[in-house]
Amino acid sequence: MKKLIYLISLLLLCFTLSAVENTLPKATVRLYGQIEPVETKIIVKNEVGEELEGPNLALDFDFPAISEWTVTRKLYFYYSSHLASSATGKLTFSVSNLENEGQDTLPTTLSLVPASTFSTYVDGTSFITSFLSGYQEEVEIGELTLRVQKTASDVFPSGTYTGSFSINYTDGP
Amino acid sequence: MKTKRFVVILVVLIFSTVGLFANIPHDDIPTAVATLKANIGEFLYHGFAESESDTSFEPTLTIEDAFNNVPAFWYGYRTNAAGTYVFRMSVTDFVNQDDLTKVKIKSVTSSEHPSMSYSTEGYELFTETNSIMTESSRSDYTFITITPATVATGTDHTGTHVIAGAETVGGASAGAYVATVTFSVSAT
Repeated sequence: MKKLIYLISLLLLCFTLSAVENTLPKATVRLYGQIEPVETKIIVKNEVGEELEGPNLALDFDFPAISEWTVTRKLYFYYSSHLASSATGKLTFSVSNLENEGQDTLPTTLSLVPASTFSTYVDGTSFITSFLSGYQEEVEIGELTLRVQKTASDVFPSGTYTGSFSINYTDGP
Repeated sequence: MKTKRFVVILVVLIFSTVGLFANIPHDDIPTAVATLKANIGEFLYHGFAESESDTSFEPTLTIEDAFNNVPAFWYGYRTNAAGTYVFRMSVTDFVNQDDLTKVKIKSVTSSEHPSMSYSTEGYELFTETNSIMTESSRSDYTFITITPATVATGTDHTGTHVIAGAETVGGASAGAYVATVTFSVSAT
């Protein structure tokens, strides 16, 4: 009888000790962080890697004093962004002919070359670019070349010629 | 005849009640004793505290803006229980709630354990061992710091995973992220 009492007491003691551990809940901390999206920024650089900023990008052409010449200027386009999901955008370019005060015109053309498979050009005047999600820094879009050409038969008075060049960005293809 | 019976009954009653009204000596009055018994059971509390002197513990804690302010908090326990108890901590990466992108944890530190190292079973914070239940409780505290990876430099807190740019605050996709730190107690 005594042995039975001892055994029961021992069993009860064991259950008590295990109850302290088995029923002990865990403690939990939840950490919350937020990464804010950053709007896409289009970056334009010249042939020497200088970033051209502002709404009015000025390009200077120096024409040689010879009968026949072709003068080109290149611009390079990049984007930086931090998007929650990928997106598509379109860059459209237009250029006017260079003219002097006497309305003499120097024909001006542009051509586009995409930098990667993420960019394609449309109609020869636009880049359609896929903007990747996550943080992206100065990802190449493509290269634009402005070309002014004079043939031997062309006669252009000397002086200052000016023209306009525009870049338009829209979301979507 | 009736009178004699009445007198006998009356005498018997008088003698039987004499004892009730007699004086009892003070020395014979027993002392009344009340025995009070109480049991204090074993307890073990653990959780988050305001400071290392705080005696109350919260089981849950929420920390906001973890990418701008490095998360840090006090963790501790108090117990009088007999036995061996090991306190461990496990940490998950920050996970984007939309696209499941991860931001890694760069480091996990404990003020009481500067040389604490990562284990697949979790970081071991305390080991409490007592052969018997004690009258007074014992407690211990540590200040925990969880640092998210902000740049792709070196490994994460496990020491084995090299952090990629897309696994940092500066390179992961935009969105809301959540990480969980869990504290558990076991016998070994």
